[in-house]
Amino acid sequence: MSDAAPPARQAGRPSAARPPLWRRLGWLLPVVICFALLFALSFLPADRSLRQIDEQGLISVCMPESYPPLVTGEPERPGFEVELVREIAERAGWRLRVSSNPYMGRDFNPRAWHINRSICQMVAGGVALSDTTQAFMDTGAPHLETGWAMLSAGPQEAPEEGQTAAFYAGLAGLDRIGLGQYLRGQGTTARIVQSPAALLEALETGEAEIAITEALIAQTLIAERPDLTLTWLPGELGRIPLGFGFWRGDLTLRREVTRLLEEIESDGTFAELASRYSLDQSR
Amino acid sequence: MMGYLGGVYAIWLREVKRSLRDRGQLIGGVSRPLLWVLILGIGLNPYFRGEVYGEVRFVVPYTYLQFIFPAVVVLNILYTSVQAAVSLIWDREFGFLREVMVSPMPRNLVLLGKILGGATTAVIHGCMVLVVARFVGVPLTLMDALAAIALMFTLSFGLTSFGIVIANYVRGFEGFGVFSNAVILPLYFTASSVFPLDPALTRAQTLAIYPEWLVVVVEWNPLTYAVDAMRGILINFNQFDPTFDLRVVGIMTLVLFLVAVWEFRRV
Repeated sequence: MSDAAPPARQAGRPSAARPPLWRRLGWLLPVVICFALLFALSFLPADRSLRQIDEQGLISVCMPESYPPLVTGEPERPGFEVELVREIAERAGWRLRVSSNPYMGRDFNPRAWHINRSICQMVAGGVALSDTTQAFMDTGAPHLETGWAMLSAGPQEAPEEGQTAAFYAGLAGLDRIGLGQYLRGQGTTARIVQSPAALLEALETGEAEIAITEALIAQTLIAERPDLTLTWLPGELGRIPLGFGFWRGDLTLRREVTRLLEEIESDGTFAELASRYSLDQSR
Repeated sequence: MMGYLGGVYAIWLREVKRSLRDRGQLIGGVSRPLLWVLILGIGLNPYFRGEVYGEVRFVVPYTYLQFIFPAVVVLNILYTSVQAAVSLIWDREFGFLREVMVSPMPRNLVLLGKILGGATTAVIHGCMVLVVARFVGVPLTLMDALAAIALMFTLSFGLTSFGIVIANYVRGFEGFGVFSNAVILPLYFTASSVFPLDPALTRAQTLAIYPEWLVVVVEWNPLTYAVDAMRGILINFNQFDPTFDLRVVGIMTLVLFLVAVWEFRRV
């Protein structure tokens, strides 16, 4: 046996004759070099998505026309996601071009948004990080969460039997059928209203005991009426994480945006923006 | 008993040292991920995304790089495991095997030491591919890595046994190289490693896309299930039932080991 002597013979050798550990483990050096080489190569850029944007100095981002509070369409308060993407573009040294899309926000399936790579390089403004989305496009880490939420005068775990719920769906593509089944199961009557303000009005006038709407809208309403209690509806209706969408394979762009987003979160800018739009940052 | 274990350890260490000192094997271990992931993967990546400038071709929850990545892990294991058995020919050629065989060590333990050594080297070569996970965009957690290593070890144990069986039938080094390549490459290419059988399709739909003979070959190739199990761990995508994958890998390893034990009696 040339490389490894039997244990009995090794035990009989004087210990002083043994070479130092680094020399005995020297045979591992080529393997370590191979690992180091491959690890270094893993830092090569995998595509040109970031390079192209850097060269043009411009990033196009698809967003819904209106999806408050993420996209409002108001020049003074354009929306949380608009300001977040603007901050990312500013830090990266890019100009921002927002491509408004009338289909987004109405449907969670991005294949129904009629968007493609030539229109925008990134998608923001309420991209649900669901299997449907991820089957079509790549997504970054979640930075917000949505779902159905309930506003009530006092602490209440769930809609109760005999209660009337004022309901405003907005543009959210959340599961309305599931919500309807859930409310029927609870014995709660739903009364549809046409605006977030009408939800508060229904609660004030006593037309409804509770109000149900999308969680992001509910968070902005509770900022106006801190006396109300916000409760997320239970698990089966789902909490949906929201993030940014990228075209599949645009790894370098996704990594750069994720890095900038982490920077924005760690220096407090994200919290500042979220509080400006009364958004809950816990996710 | 401890003496036997010491013997198994000595054979294992010798196999590992011999394989890791073999520059040819190391270069192969590095060049495969480079060629398959960096060159082929990047080259085909743009043709394998859900949309290409508005036209939705097909929708898959991964990029081509991510799809091919687990298969390259298996490829590195496949090559290294089967090549590890070349040591049997060396040992036979230079008389070392005869010395070991006349020792008090039972034959099966000699075989076990050799297979464990080959499997260990194969796992190290598999881990070389895992190192480029960042490049491919596969988020690798510690649990994922450990599960992948466990699967790699099971698979390489079976494949090294397979290599031993081949080495037992081949007399020279050249013959072994030709024979192992003739086995490795067809096994790899028909393991759904470079193209997917879309799990969203029924069998009838799959047969409408691919010729029946290819679908049958892919479905009967046990390595298909090893690649699929690796995909399940690394990119969370399975074309087949994950428990069935693990069962096939386990049974394949056991059967190949038993065949190797049987064949090693003739050495």
